[in-house]
Amino acid sequence: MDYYKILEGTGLSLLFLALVFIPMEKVFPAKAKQKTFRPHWFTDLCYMLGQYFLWGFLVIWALSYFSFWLDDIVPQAFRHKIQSQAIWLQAIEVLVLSDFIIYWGHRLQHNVGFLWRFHKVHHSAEHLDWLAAYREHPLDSIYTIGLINLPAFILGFPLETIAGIIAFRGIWAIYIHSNVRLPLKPIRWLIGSPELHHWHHDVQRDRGNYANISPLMDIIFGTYVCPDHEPEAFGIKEVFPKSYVKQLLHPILPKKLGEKLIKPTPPAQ
Amino acid sequence: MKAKKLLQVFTLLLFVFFLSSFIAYKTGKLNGYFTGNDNISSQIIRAELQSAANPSVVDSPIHNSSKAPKADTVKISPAMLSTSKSMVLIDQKVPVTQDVKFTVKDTPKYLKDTIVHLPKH
Repeated sequence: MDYYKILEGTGLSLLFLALVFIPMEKVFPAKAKQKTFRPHWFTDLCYMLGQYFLWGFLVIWALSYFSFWLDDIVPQAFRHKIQSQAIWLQAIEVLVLSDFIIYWGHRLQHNVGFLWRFHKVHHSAEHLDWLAAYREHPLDSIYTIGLINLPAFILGFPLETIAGIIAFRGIWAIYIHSNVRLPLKPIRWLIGSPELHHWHHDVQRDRGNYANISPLMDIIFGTYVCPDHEPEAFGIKEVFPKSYVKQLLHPILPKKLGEKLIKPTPPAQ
Repeated sequence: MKAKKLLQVFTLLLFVFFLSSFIAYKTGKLNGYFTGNDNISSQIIRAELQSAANPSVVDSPIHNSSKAPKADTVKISPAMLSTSKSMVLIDQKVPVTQDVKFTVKDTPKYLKDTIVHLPKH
């Protein structure tokens, strides 16, 4: 494992993303008073660095193992039949199925207690910007990325064919968390934008907008929400630790131990 | 007002430019990763055999289980290569009188270009 290359890559990514997104957040701000170094920015930086240096490999390993397991149980005859179709048709099938599966998987994350334990780490961010996009528990990442890639794994679809779409998804996921308000009115039914995802991060856990890139699934299943203003507040209603390490530990510890990680609020004077 | 509009247009153009460049760059990297042609995934990991002295059939490059062969040939089963899309050897018998090396391609990143080494008797 070449740590120097990983370090170099991480540094360049951080610099690049900051140079791209900070000007956008200053010129098209969703919350104009939000500073670049807003509260808990360091926690989100830890998440980004953790992903690059620590958890990225765990996620890839888990997905590899999952892919192998599927290779053993999915009938080859089924895959041959799928792969005999035109590649463009396969791509559409994979993308539509991915969107469908991740939409419902995301709804489960908000409605099933066990999944919400991990997913609320992502929603604990009280300030949204490009860096907050990285705030995600590694086990939640495995769940999300596993679901997105599940159709491709099952169908034996060559992912290099949609490498461009995968790359686009990655950067767009950062963009929709950024502190930007730039409504794309002509194409807003086709592609999600920050103002949609900001409403998903509203303090109300079941606000809506669960879809991944395109809001079509939200429109079809009635969870599309798009008022003409920003939410009052982001975050979660539950009390939750503020530090990186405690946030990682909280979902995996028994309830009583997890409560010890939360700093009690000092009484009002 | 005009200056603000100009700044917005300029920032937007810069954003679109960087976005496109990044996507093009990442596409190339991902493409290389998925096909095994990038520098990072070209690291070769040798499958560990239980004993170098005894030739063995590696049941699975991932789990590294192995059995000692009893015949003069070693059969490499499809199950061993079931995760690869472009298999080098499929259900073929390989004489154990010579070293055999083949590459399993299209396996996930950390097993990219796995070389399975069956030393000769």
